[in-house]
Amino acid sequence: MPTPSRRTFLSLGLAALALALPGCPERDALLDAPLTVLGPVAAAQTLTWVDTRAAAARVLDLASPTLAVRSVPVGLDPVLAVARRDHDEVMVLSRGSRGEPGVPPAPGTLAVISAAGAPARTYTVGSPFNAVSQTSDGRFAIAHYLPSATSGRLLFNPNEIAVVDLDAPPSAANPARRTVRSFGGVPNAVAFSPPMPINGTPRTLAVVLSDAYVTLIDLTNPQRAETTVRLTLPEDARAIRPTQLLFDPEQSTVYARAEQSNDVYALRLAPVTPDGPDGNDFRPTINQLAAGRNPSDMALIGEASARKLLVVSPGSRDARVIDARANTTVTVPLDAVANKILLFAAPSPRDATPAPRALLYATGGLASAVSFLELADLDARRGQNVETVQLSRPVLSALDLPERGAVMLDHTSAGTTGQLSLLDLARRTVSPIFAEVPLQGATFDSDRQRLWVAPSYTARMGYIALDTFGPGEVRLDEPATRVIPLPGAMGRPGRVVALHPASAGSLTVLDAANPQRETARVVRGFLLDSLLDRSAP
Amino acid sequence: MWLTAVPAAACMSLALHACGDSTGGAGAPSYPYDAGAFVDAPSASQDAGMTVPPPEVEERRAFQTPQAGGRFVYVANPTRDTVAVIDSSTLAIQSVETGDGPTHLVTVPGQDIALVINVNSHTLSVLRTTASGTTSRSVPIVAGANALAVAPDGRHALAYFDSTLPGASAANGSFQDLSVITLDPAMDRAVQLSVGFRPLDVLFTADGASAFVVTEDGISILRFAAITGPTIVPNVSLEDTAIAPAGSDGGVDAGDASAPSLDATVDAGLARVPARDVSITPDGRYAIARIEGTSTLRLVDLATRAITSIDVGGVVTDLDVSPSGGYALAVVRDRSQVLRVPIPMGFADATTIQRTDVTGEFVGSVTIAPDGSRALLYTTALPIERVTLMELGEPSLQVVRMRKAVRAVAFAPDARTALVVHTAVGGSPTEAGIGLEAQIDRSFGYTLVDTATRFAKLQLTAADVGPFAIVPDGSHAFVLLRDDARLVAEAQRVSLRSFVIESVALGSPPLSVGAVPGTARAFIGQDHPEGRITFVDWNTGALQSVTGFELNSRVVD
Repeated sequence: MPTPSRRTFLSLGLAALALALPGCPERDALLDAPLTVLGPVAAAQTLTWVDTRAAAARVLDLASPTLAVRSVPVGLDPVLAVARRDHDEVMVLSRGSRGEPGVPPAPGTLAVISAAGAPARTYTVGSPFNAVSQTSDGRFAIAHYLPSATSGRLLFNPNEIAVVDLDAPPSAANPARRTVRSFGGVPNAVAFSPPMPINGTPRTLAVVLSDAYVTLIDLTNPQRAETTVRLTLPEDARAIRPTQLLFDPEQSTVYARAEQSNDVYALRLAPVTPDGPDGNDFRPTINQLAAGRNPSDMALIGEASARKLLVVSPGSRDARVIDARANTTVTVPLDAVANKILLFAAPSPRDATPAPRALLYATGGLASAVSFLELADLDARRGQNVETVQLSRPVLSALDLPERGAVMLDHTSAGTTGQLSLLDLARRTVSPIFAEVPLQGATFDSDRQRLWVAPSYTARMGYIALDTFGPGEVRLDEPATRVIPLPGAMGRPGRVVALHPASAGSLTVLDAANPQRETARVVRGFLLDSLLDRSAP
Repeated sequence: MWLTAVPAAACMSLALHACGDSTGGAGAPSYPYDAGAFVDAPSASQDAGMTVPPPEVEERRAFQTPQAGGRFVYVANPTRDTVAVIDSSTLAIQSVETGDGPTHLVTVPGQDIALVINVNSHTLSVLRTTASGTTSRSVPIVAGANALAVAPDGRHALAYFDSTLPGASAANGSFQDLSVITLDPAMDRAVQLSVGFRPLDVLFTADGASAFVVTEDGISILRFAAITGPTIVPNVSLEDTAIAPAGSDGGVDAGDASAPSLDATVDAGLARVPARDVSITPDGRYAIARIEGTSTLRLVDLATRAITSIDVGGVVTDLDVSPSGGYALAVVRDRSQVLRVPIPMGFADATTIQRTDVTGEFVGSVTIAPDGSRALLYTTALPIERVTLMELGEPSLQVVRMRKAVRAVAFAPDARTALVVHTAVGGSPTEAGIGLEAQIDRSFGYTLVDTATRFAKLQLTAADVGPFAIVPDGSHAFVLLRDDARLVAEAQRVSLRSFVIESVALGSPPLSVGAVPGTARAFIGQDHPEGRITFVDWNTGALQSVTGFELNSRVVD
């Protein structure tokens, strides 16, 4: 085996030495504790793990020549580590401590760790939340409870949330803690809008999804009361659960799709005069739109002045084009049942001009055909605008590859080896890709040039180049449990990291564009870095 | 007649008028006509050997819920005992509790005040809406009331049982009880009165100070200022031979302590001839009526109760009082003649009556424009495909050719445009082999008439012309089309300036249409279990819809 570049940390040896010393009465409990970590989470050229016992993040900088490991304290009882969107930062949510002998009570926190090494910011969210949602631009985050959460406290309020402005430093007003008005439910999820112009001012809204109602929070004006919109009347026993939101900023409208409802709910945010300084200056009006049986996906189509909603409803085996302003619906029957919509702009076999089109397909193995829908003049042409393309096998899941003008279809069924298809959206051809390993966990590199797989039973990584469909594989020192893409930096191509099962930390870094064993780097033991410098919290 | 009970300024009328009696013409007409081609109207002499045409038909369409105030639209929900109050500007909805079974709802013209009869609790709820919300206050009213009439000044309303309304049942209430509601923000109150048998219509003076309840027994006059408590309101009879004794003060009005008893006015022995087309002059001084099937016109001086009759020499098939009340137009169909009868002078001096022969035409109905500048003459009794435009300033007649027979006519408030609704003959317009004329005759439709140029545009429709509304500035009309069997659910936005018609497809069958002057929007109420309404900006055509009135009312912030 060619010798890869290695670094054996001094700390590893020191740790071993410390463990070997006999008769030491002051042995730190940390040394005997199992190492439990969260992560890793990629941010820029770093990977961050969180040592839950030590309440510290270990940031491994893969761009540094020395592969430096930086230790950053986080709050007690960390439960979640996620990357901050559009920022080279990692957020670590900690539940804090209720207080133990020798351990004072500590509030829940959200620590934001910079990949570039800037000082971490710690926002005191207060309660022991266990979930974080964030806006698509990473500006705001909301810490909240998952529905099944237990707090480990005598009492807790499942509808409490903390709104964090991540662009602003921690302060008494940041985070803003509040309790979401409840009609008996608890938040299932939190979604965020893009900037929605209301009264001429763009707003970012947080939409808290609960059973049978949604709650709108104006994050731009967090001091204002939330707005709660019921989706059913009190006597309605249906378990309506909102599961999908679409935002139409140009029409100031939020569309909500819910399980157990055949209607789509259009919430138009109409400007109103606020009731006082903390009153909202908008109010949603509801428009229930009949959407066939069991609508399963929706998408906005058309220009802003003629915006319509495209909905697929597998229960009625059709697609519907809904004009929410007039409540009119055009039904398009489908040959193949569909439960997902993918909008794209591409030529078609009969039209060389790129135009808005839709791919309608079914996941979950429901259908072995997909439908292409021409969106132009759909109201009049209806079924004439549908082209059905047969596939060899039912589709389990699909992945959009917009930069390639294709969709990767996964036909793998449980317990079998993988089969993929690459569906060319313009030519409407289907190229099969066979795999001898399961494809669960397959990952694209950051440039989406290759699809990577790393089966746990063999010390090899496989890939397929998506431009040539050329396969390849790289032999590793040990099996990998996970593949993590890293973006390129400073003119260097992206990389992929294979994680190996080792409690002290072990990984292999490969050049994503030219993956070779000879140029790979193996790093081990980084989770034990500075172990002897630590003390138990 | 354009708006008898609701001022034109309030918004628009859905009352289509072709006047006459709907009860006299049994059996299909046997007179010949050319169903497809242009029809030359028979002259009076040509009619001589023909079967007498049926009476002119008056088609009266009333607003259905929703109803509009100045900015808000109100929709009663009898099953939830609530009224949805919809802000036409923001589409925000409040659900306001009322009494038991709110059903019959009207608004005060131009104001955000709604009145609704709670049929199960025999109360009337008064809803007043401001920017800060809606208040609701209830007063007891007569049991069985199913109709409301609001005075033009919005200070009084009448609740009564109208046996002519669809679904009205005599078992539901008295034929002669009536409640006068004084609308006072400080304290609404109601007084119960007894009036003549079977109220047929309620009219008001222009100033809203008095109401006139037209009943089978005559006219019950209500002077609101004089009503202090429950009482009997004797009638001013429309019959020549049954005159109730008038007091020396000339009044037997409600509130007059010296009013004679009801018995004094009953004319039990008279072979009654129901009066038709009773109109009141805007000042409340006179009532004028025609008697169906007779050549008699009657003028009742409502102050002195004096009745004056004249015989105009031919059966009067329609009668319309000018907006000023200075004269009436009567149509003598047999002679194709229009009489301009000064009020009251025409009843004292027959020589003051101007007679205009509509030569070569067959007219039996008249509709006067709201500004009194012109009138349309036409017939609904024969499939005549023409109307006659009569200028009333310098009397002149102009024939306007239609492509279909006339069912009803309405003027825009500014009188610049008229809308003529047509009949459709039986048979499918798409049947193979039929000609263009037959296709047109078998189709539903309406014609827009520019009254200045007499330009007419026929619009065929996919379904019978339903309720329609003309917006207050006269710029647009909205026409509803509904045919559930053929899945027609459509509104047409009609520019009354260009006659360009824009179709608005609806997600559910339209029920009612009206204008909200405060926001320049038309509303289209629709048949939807959760409640659905679509607002249309009448200038731009922009649409907004709301579905689920109860859900919308439960938005909490």
